[in-house]
Amino acid sequence: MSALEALFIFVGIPLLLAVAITVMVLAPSLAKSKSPRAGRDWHAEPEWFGAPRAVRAIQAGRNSRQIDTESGDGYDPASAGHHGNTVKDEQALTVARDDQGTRGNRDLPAGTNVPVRTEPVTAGPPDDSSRDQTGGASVRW
Amino acid sequence: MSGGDAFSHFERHEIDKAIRDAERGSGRNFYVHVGQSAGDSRRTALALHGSVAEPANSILIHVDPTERTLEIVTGSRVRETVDDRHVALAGLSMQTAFEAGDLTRGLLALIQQLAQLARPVRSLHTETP
Repeated sequence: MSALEALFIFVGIPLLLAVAITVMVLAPSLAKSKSPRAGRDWHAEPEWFGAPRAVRAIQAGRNSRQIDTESGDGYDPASAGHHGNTVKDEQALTVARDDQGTRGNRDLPAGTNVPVRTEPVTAGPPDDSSRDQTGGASVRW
Repeated sequence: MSGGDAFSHFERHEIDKAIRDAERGSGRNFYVHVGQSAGDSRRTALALHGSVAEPANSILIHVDPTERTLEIVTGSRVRETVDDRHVALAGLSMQTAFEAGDLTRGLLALIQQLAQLARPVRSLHTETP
């Protein structure tokens, strides 16, 4: 065995193994560090999971306005209950057959045109009826 | 992963899979929204919950990383079997993961817990003579 071979076997191979193991250990944390951290510096785009197959077509592309519960752009009260929002759209909605549940107009047949209210729905906290319909919890971390 | 994405491709896949499993096991619809709230986070969550196809049978999880708030909204039919206190406990248990900045791990565990809670209760005495 030459000196070069001995150097490769006893130094080179252990060194390569050490580097490989270090990379494998650090790779996940390095990849994760690119993700934005929660807090004021959060800059990522909003993400929906489970929604594409279910969000109604009439609301496609309007989520940013619909969830704007403070600025007055508002959202569809027929679909979301009355949670203290202002609705400006005068567009009529078509009640889908599967749109039943907490929203109103559940007795109307499919295809019925329902005009959207154009006046402020409510001002202030959600009313008692909406509290009865939905449940859940709020957590801060 | 491009800059500005909250989740990697693998993490998205994991969350989607957790949602599918939860829906299969519980018969409820699960939705997760991660993003800033427009004003009050609870109202935003309620508005998002109202925008889905079948809100009565749906559970929506809204995570606002900016305000560090987690909102869970359960529909009226879900609420018949899932107690709000249990939902709050499930949410509290996710605080550790969220505080560590690991939204994915927290969400996965939360979805699994909610799926367990929302599982319909089978009665063993439905066919009494």
